[in-house]
Amino acid sequence: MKTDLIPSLDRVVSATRSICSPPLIYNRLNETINHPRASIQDIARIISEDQGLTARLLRMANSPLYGFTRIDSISRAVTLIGTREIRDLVLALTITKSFQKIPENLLKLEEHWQHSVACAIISKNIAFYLREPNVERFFVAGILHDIGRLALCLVHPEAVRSIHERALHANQSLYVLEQKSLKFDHAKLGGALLKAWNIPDNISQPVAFHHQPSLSRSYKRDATIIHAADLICHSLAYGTNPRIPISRLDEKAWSELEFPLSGLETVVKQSDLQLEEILVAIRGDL
Amino acid sequence: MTSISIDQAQAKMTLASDVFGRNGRLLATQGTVISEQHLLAFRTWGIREIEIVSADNNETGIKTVTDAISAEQLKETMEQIQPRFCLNNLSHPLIADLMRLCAIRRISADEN
Repeated sequence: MKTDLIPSLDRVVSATRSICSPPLIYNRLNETINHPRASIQDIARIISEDQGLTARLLRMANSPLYGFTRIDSISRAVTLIGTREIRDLVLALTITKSFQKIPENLLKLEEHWQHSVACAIISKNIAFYLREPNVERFFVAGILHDIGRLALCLVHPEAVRSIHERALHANQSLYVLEQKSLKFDHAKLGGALLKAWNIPDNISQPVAFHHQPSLSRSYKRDATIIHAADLICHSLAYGTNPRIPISRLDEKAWSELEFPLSGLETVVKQSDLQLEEILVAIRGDL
Repeated sequence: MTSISIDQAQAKMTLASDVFGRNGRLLATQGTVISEQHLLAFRTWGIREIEIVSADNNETGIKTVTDAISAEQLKETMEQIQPRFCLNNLSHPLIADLMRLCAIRRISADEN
């Protein structure tokens, strides 16, 4: 690719923003949450306007992922899960809709969604196993970790196609080939896009560094959890292309996580049980 | 009384001690004959081990998936999947474990 044809990171971010934006409901929730006099009922009212989303959130709150029993109203779900967590969850559940225009032969949204949800569940379970506080953010970051790939498919389908072709023969992982030809990768792009959408750093940073967590200054631990979950998903082939080699493990970051290997099988089995149920619970019109 | 990992636990085993969730919530009491629902709840609450009343037979008759797969079969499948892991250090404990899990998964998928 000629140098003058290489799109810069900023350009791709602004091109993506001109085509798709976070759903309106996310911005409304954000405004309400930041409003000093807003109540949980106000937040629940906004969500309840969207019946499909309401049903998906309720199914999810009642799924084993949360372990609550019988949550029958959105306001109760907001109270138990948390206002910011619900807002981010709404974003994660609705964002794929903005990328529907991606050609099927470039990326199958269904497979992408399955991989994202699997990564989200495994991330959350690893975090839970490590006794991390506020594990919800891992679920959201897991769902959004490859959003940069969606953006790239939407804005530069040709670049994605040629990188894909090369990955099949070059024995290289996608992000390395992206860095070689674009000077940035889908992780960086995803992080930058989420930042431009004012998504908090505790989500955008782990997304930005999910292939090279050691490089993250402030969110190394979170990024490593997403990194490991992504690797596990690829190894166990959850919605991924089995012909592309699995990315390299960041061994240094992994050892710093101090995750006991005896927990791996438990996390995988637990996630296996939850995956099917969660996929059914949050299935909407993608 | 035997302490077993949650992955080895099966329905119809009897609990030898109370099981508490990580926040101290009592999930099941001593003497409960556990069901699939109990196992799901235990996993959800992050329980890793439970204590069960030993059955008469040796080692409570637990048979794990790995027992059913021969070492040869596992080795062969691991060789087949090795190219997917070519960018990684195959002797790293996590990668080695993932390859094993991936192989077991593939073998059980083929058998089904």
